Amino acid sequence: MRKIAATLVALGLTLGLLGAGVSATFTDSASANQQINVGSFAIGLQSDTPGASVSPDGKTLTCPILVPANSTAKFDPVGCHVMIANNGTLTPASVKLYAQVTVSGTPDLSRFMAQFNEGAGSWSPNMFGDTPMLSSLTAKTLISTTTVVPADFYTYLGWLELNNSDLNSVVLVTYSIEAAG
Amino acid sequence: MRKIAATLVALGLTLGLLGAGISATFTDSASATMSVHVGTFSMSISAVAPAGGTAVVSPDGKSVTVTCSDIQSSAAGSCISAITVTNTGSIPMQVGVAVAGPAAPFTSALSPIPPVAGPTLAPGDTYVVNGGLSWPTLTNAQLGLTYTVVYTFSASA
Repeated sequence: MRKIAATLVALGLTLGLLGAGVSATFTDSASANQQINVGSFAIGLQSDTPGASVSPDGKTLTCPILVPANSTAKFDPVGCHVMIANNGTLTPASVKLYAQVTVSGTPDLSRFMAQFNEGAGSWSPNMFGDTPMLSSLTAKTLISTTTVVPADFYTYLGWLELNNSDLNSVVLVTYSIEAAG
Repeated sequence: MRKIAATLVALGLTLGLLGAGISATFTDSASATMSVHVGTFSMSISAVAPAGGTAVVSPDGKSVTVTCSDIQSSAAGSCISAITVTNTGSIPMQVGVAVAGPAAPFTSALSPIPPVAGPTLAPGDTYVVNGGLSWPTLTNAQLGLTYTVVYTFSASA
């Protein structure tokens, strides 16, 4: 029994050595790789309105500041032209336009109004309405959407007759353009 | 049974990853601002004291009280002071003047008489008028009395 066991052990070693010899091969390798480049997704703002300025990154457009010369009611006839450009390689699936008003001082927002006029871009029906008073825009409000970029629109501000409560105040309307793709 | 459970777990993970992939979107944003800055609107007043009299401006600069020296004879005379209003705001203003008093026989000595519409003052500009009292020869009826004229300067824009 011990002899059989010893033979089996020897056989096992032999097979083991033979196995090591069999596994030695010339080797070589190759590989294939596949890469995908994800494009860029970015929108930028521009304006041809005299006095308008755009931040270096193109993300912030500041329209000219309106300064009433007197208390007389006025609707700014010039407006501010906001142009949205596609600075990326991907096409946005949607562009949403929001508006929100913030103030400093004690202006009566029921006397200030804004208007949004669609330019190019197939904007959806203007949810801004007909010259709404800014008192309705104290919260961020969706006013229009489009799926076409480049797109543009015009904004206007106006006010009814001002009084002393409006003095030394600032009424700021911020239009947020949010693109998704 | 354990194998089925493991398969279901794996399937759940796969679906979960697929779901995360579907909801992922590229986003970007920008903002444009448009603003109205309503300026300041205010005026101040001062006056030159007449000879022998005083001119005191209130702390808020909104009124000046000019006091003439006491009249020492019955002879006709006047007490005139140069009054200056200044546009201390940032908005141009149109200034009007209203006169109240004095009781006869004293009269207001406003000169020049402002136009009905009043002058327009740009920010920082001043408007100077001469104001005061004139009187004819006095009698005993005026002895011991005080006569006052009030000029009210109003601004609008």
